[in-house]
Amino acid sequence: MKEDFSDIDKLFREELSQAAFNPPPGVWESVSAGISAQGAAVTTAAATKSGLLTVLKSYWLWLAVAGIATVVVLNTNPDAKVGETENKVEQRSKQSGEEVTVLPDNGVTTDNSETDNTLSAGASDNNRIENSRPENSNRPAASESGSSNQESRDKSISEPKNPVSIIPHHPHHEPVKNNSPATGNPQVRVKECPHSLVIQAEMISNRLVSFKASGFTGPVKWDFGDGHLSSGLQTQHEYKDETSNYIVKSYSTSINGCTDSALYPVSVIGSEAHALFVPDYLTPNGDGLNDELKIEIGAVKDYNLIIFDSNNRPVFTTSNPNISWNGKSGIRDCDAGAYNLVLSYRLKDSNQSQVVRKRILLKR
Amino acid sequence: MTEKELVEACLRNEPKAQEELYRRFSSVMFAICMRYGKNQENAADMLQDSFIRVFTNLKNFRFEGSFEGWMKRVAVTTCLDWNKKVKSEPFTEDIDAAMFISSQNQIFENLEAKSLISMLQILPAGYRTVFNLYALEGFSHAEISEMLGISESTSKTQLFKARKILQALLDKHKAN
Repeated sequence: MKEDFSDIDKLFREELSQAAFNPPPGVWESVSAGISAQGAAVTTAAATKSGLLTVLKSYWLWLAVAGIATVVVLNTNPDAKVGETENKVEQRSKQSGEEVTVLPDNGVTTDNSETDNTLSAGASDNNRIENSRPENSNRPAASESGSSNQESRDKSISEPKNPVSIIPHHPHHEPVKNNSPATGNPQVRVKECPHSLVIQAEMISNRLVSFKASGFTGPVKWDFGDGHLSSGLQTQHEYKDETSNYIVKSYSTSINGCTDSALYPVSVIGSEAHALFVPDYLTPNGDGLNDELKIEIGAVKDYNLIIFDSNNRPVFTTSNPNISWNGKSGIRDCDAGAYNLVLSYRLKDSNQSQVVRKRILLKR
Repeated sequence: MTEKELVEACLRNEPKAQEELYRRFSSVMFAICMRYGKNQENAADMLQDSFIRVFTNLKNFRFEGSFEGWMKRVAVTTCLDWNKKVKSEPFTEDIDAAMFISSQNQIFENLEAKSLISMLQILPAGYRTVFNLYALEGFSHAEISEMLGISESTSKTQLFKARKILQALLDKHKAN
């Protein structure tokens, strides 16, 4: 399963670390103009000093923010991580024939070392890019092995089956003891427990998403898909990265030993995190479960949903996010089978239109 | 003129020395900027900023260690600052789409440095930055997380994704 990438690093390092390309003409003239302009301003010494200070200050700011964020996460959930680890060990150990190298202590150790770094970062650390890094130093072997572990973990948790699509095709519910969807193995329910854990998500700002779990009694833990963890019925998380998909996972164990989990995809597109979920299928049989194709989406504008049948004829269309498809076209019941969904919307503060396409199943 | 004499002359703001310094090091510096930039134009901007920073910070160079190494670090720092500004750049993780775009540019003639640069430039800024820092500059994930203000696991994820895309690009290249 594990992919070997050592050749890639080596190839790029060997070809590029000593590479030299001639820059396009005109750059020197701009540089020359730039430095003489700076020389003219007050004294070069002052200019330099303030320039350097700005650079240092910005690193301080980053460190401070990262430090505070880490401390908050650690303080509020000291045992969430331990529980999480145990949970994963259990999860893994149930899987026969699967490689068991991956998860356990990584989440914990990574977080600890992160804290150590940020807390112990002194003034001298600020200079490290410019001054303290020896040239061509070899990277420590430990970090390499750590990274491959971490990568496998990240892959198993956060990588959608189909990393290409905007919305990862995940079932909403997933029993904790199943394999994660990324492994591609069929789902095996260990114990008959009802699926009842439900995640509701809402965008608070561009990158801040709040999550709420309901329908299940028991302490709820969260994995935000980007390496951050939390616990509690309600929580929120700020996504820092650029464009990427995450699977938020919450899981819980009730007093009678039932475990349940739910997944919620979050897409960061550009500078914005999208909390939206499109189910894979609907079963309109009146049993109260998946009778409608309930799309969960935060506050958006210009919402437009069209569902096409296999002959590309539209069977359902709405511009109201609160109206879900019930498997009917007008008053006629649609046949069981595959349908294509096209959803477009704009975020509240954006003019950029987002389009989501997905194949869904109508089961009867 | 030795390197030390050249630097000292630049410190005295002698225009000829400054131009000579640029002439000697610009191609090596530009190669770094090409690795971090998203295209040649972007890299040229990074190069310009890097040299302005080199000249204005020259007095902080203490003649300990290699001058070229110091300049390269200034270039890397400058490129990082540039890439911080492009956080919102949209990107598709669709390899085929990326391949299509790149094949339009006819870049995959051989596996020379320029082809590899073109592959790096397909990556979104975040992946590209982490891959460069890790694979080429030799920083650890802990160091990268400090420099970029991201978590270590984000750094690892981005490295993984960068390698995966690069691998797909290389495979595609070999197949052609």
